[in-house]
Amino acid sequence: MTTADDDLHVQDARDERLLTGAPTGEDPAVVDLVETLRATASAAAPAPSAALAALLRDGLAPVTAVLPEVTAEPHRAHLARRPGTRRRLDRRTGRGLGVAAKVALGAGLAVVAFGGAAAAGVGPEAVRAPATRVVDAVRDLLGTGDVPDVTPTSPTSPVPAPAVTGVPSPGGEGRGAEPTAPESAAPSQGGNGQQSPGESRSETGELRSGTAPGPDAQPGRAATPAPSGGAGEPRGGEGTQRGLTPAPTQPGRSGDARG
Amino acid sequence: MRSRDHGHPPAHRAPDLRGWAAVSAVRHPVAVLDDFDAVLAAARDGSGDAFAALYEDLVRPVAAYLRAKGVVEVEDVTSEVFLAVFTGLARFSGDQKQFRSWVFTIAHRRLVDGWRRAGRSPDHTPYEAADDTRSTPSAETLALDAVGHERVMAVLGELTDEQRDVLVLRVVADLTVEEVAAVLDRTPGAVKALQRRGLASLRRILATEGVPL
Repeated sequence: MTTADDDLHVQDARDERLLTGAPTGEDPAVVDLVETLRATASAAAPAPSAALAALLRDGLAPVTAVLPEVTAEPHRAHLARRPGTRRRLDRRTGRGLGVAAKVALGAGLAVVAFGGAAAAGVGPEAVRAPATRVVDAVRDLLGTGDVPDVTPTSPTSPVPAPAVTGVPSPGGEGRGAEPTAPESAAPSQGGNGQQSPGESRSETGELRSGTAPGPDAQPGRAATPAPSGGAGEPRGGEGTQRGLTPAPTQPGRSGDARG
Repeated sequence: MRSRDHGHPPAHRAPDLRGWAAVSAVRHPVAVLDDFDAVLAAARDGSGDAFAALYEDLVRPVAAYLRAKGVVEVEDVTSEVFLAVFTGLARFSGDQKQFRSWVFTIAHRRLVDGWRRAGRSPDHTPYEAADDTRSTPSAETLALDAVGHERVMAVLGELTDEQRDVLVLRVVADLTVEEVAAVLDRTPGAVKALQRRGLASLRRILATEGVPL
């Protein structure tokens, strides 16, 4: 240990005695200052605020009283104690919504689920049939059936129809067979007008959104051989109907009924 | 149980602490609850008497610490500190010394948060005896008062914030170097260095000015 360390050690020891009130050979002025500072800790206590006074008087409910609630939903209960988080949670879980908003939200969810099930072709037939009709009606009403295709539009492109519709799926084919939306098939309607009649789009587009004029649709429908399509599933064929182009070379395109 | 008696009445009605272990005074104002564990357990159960016992044990040093740090609304901030302490008891575990450190840690952080919210660094407000609203100063306080007390605050005001923190926590809160280090989130070595420099500054100031307390 060096002399400097010794000095430091001695100094620290002296400081410690001063700060703890032990006798020291320190300058009296310094000792007085430290003792005066120490005496401030015995000055009169400030009066407690109203909230603290109530706490000191009445106490608090035992902490264990809230434990069941905390353990029931520990994470969210912890979060919910924070006001901002509680608001966000309420918004996320719907608790913060009004009655009207909840009703509207529920109805919207039901419609989406109903329509989604119909579009996906899942669920029992008893559900799918009316759902498909509703979806078709809504689609017609909104003109969504005229949404431009996303299929290739090159006139020289190979006929993609077989690839899409060659293998009739149980759900898809039937849809295509149903001519329930003649108005949507009319040339005057919607999306068809967006492209020239001669475009190849009629060839490909028919497979999905059905932009072909009505007359074309008829053969297409007739060409649909799928027994399941024609017989079993008289639903929503507007897309298929519209999409069915006169493709005599591809009679097997029943699948295109799927649209 | 009786409240700690240092020969002067408290500024407010002392809470009824009967039924609790006696609070004994030690060498200087720091009091120690004889049965701290029982008091703490009762406080965790929400006992108002236990809260009052803990409050009586620490309110004066906490208020003194806040005052030495230049807090003007000492009553309000002291109450906030103890509300935070009592509502956060479930998070504490330890003995009485650790409880004391924990309370001062809360007080220190409350100060820092307050300054941060106010967007300023702590400025040391010189003590003004005329502004001291405590209604029933004790004989001891009166003995200290005006000149001496004000002088102490003025001298402390010449230290850096960190030096003042260390010295006040060591003297007023009666914390060890290690406990002060925990409160300030520093190393014990750093606290020792601050203490050394702070005391050196005090000696220099007093020697230069030569003003008696």
